[in-house]
Amino acid sequence: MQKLVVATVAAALVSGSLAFAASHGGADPIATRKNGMQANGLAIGLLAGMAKGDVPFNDKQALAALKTMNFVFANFGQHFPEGSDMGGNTTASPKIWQDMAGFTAAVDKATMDTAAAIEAAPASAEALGPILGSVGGNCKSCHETYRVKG
Amino acid sequence: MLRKLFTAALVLAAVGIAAFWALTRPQGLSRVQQASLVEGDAAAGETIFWAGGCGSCHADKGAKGDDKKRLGGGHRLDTPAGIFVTPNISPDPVTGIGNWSLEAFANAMWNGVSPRGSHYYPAFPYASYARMSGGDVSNLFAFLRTLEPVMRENEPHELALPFKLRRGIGLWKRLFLDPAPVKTGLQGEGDIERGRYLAEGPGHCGECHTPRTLFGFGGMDEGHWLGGGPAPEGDGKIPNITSGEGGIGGWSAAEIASYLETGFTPDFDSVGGAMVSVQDNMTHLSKEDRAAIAAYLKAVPAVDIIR
Repeated sequence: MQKLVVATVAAALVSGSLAFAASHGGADPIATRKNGMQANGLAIGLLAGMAKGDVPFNDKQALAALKTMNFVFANFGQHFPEGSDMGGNTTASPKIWQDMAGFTAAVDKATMDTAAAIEAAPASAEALGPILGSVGGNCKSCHETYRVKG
Repeated sequence: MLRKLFTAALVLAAVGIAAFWALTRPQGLSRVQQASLVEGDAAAGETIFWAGGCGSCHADKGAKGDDKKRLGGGHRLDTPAGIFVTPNISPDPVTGIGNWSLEAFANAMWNGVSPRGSHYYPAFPYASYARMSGGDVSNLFAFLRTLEPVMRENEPHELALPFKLRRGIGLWKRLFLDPAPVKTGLQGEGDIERGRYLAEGPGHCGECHTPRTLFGFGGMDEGHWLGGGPAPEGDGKIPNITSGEGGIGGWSAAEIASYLETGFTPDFDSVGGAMVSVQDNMTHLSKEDRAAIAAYLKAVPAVDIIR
């Protein structure tokens, strides 16, 4: 059962980041952003499950999850062109365009923190705790300012 | 004839003004309120400080950790009535509330009345704090006393004309200020009573999560309790946190408690907007208290969001 859960999540993760990668550079930045965030949600869900012991720790999959997030963040900032602040059920806040420097800094921090976590190559469920702290903290602080629920 | 009419109109106007004046008079502490105050326990007050979320409006915007206990105020709350600037509630004796008595503090928390005897605007959520016990108000006051004084002069609110007339708040209070519990007799698992007290009282969840009557300027609409709606401050919408349409009926009590603890939804979306600061406050509560809030939220009647 647990193996099935891991396999399903891993598959969803791959398809999520593939969707992000496939639409990346495409004509619909809002859909691309959503795919990216979706993939990251799955990735952090898998890491949190491992940290809590709900799913068995697996170093390769943990690393894959971190790489997914790092890939999304490294490319995330380019999907906010002028005019993509409305439509498509976007929850992006107008503050992104009012304060592009601040937004870019927040995305850069998320990119760097996930890169550092990949570098650290967590080898146990315990090692995921501090990583979830820093990466999860980035989710919240960026969503605090730059996301609006419509 | 005309003269008589004129006199009658004058008399009516005078009666009206007198009635308005009498009906809107700021109240002091009642005898029952006064008698429920005790010698406060600062350590117990800290729990109430986090449950009440004082730092989310009275500390610097985005303050984390111990900075959230520096209560110099100065947040600008952008609302349909205008901009409210939160006041200094640090123990500074000149610019804060350092020389307030416990009675003055309790009168502010329960009755929304300042030490000088004028009404506070209900942007200060006393309509919820009115449900707090005398013990908790006393404990919170004792805790606030232990914090670092911050020197910062209060700034006036910037409101549209009808809202500048503070006396009118007296009428608002007659209609909408009621310390009685909102949802009683709820059925379900867990410590619903404790959860109700925390959520309806100090936690003041309803102030944002419940739509308001009178085009958004009235009280919390108890028929749509916690059903979400337009944000009372800033942009966007506030989510429905009942089990109704668009709500959190799919979350288990454990998942709600986990959200309050970690800031992540069951499908690993993260908390956002103004809730980030609130969720951070919730991490300072005990596991039992978070579970109690979750139990209460599972038990409140499902309502659908108003579109």
